[in-house]
Amino acid sequence: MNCETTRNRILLDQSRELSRVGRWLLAGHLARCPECRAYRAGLTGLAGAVRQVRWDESFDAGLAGRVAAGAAVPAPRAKRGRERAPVFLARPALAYGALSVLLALAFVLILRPFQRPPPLARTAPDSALAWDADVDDRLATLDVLVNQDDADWTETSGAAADSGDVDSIARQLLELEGEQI
Amino acid sequence: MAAEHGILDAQAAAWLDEYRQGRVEALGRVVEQYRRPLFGFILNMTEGREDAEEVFQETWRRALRHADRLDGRRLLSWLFRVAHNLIVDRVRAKKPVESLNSEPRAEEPGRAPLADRLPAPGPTPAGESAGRDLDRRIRQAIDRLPPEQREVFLMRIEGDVPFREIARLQEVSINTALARMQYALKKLREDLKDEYAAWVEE
Ligand SMILES: [Zn+2]
Repeated sequence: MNCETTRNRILLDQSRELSRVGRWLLAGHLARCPECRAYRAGLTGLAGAVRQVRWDESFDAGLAGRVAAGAAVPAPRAKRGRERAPVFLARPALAYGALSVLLALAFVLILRPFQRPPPLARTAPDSALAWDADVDDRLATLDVLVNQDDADWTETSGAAADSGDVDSIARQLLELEGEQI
Repeated sequence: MAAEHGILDAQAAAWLDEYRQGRVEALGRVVEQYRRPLFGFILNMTEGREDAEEVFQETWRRALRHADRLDGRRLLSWLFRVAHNLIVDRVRAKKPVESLNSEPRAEEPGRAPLADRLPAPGPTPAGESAGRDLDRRIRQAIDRLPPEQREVFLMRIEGDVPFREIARLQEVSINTALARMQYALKKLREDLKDEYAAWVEE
């Protein structure tokens, strides 16, 4: 597998944006590739050092206090509701308009669950479960293939064929997850 | 990397709740908690300390306008987004042709190196000098990055902003955001060769 793709996966893993298949592929590559393990260690070290940098040495110490002092105490919601009320009272057309929009919204929100056929409501979880089972099955196949791949690593032809299988299943899985990496 | 941000964010979320209940002093703690990463980001993306302080203050002012809806657990990343928008507005107002999303360029016209834009540091105790030297070299290395790479790097490392969000802010694809991060890391690896070798060894 490509080290360049793996390094993007390392970045996405650290930002919690890597798909399940991506994480699986990353773990497999890291187990075999000392260069990418070094890359990850270097990135962790660099991030830690950058987070120690005292950027704020030149910071005006009073500034944080001024930000806090300048901030108003948040007003309770009820109070602000009352403050807005006279605007509606002064404009009856606006009040009726808003009321009709609210009623229409409530009608749609309340009735929608009854209009939706029950089988359709169950479709999403079922398909999600099926999707999960599908990914699980394929990940299990990948595990078998990769373990074979490890065993046959010295036999170039066998290893090449297995790697091809692994790559193609991995690609299908990524497509299933809607991911490219 | 993420866990470190997670702990800070949980603490900030608690303080933000206190602020919403009317305790203004809790806000001071939140501002203080995120002062270093947020001010660092702004300082690196603006013309100098005065500019940075203005943007810092305005970022909080705008954030607090929406105090009701702020999610304390993602506050820092949100502050970075507000700061990004303010900085882009300033860049556009000053230099209508250029933007943060322009192609990488070696020099930013009219922008002095970071060291020249900051006041000279005071005398340093002997024990701290090694750490200060690393600080200085990291600052310089980051300052030498083209602005769009510098921004991706700082948003990720200091702000914990996800790549998808960085890509959206910079109006590029996620692959471009990742490529900018990789270019930034490559340059920083070269500039901080000795330290990098030690981090890899650990
Ligand atoms: Zn590799």
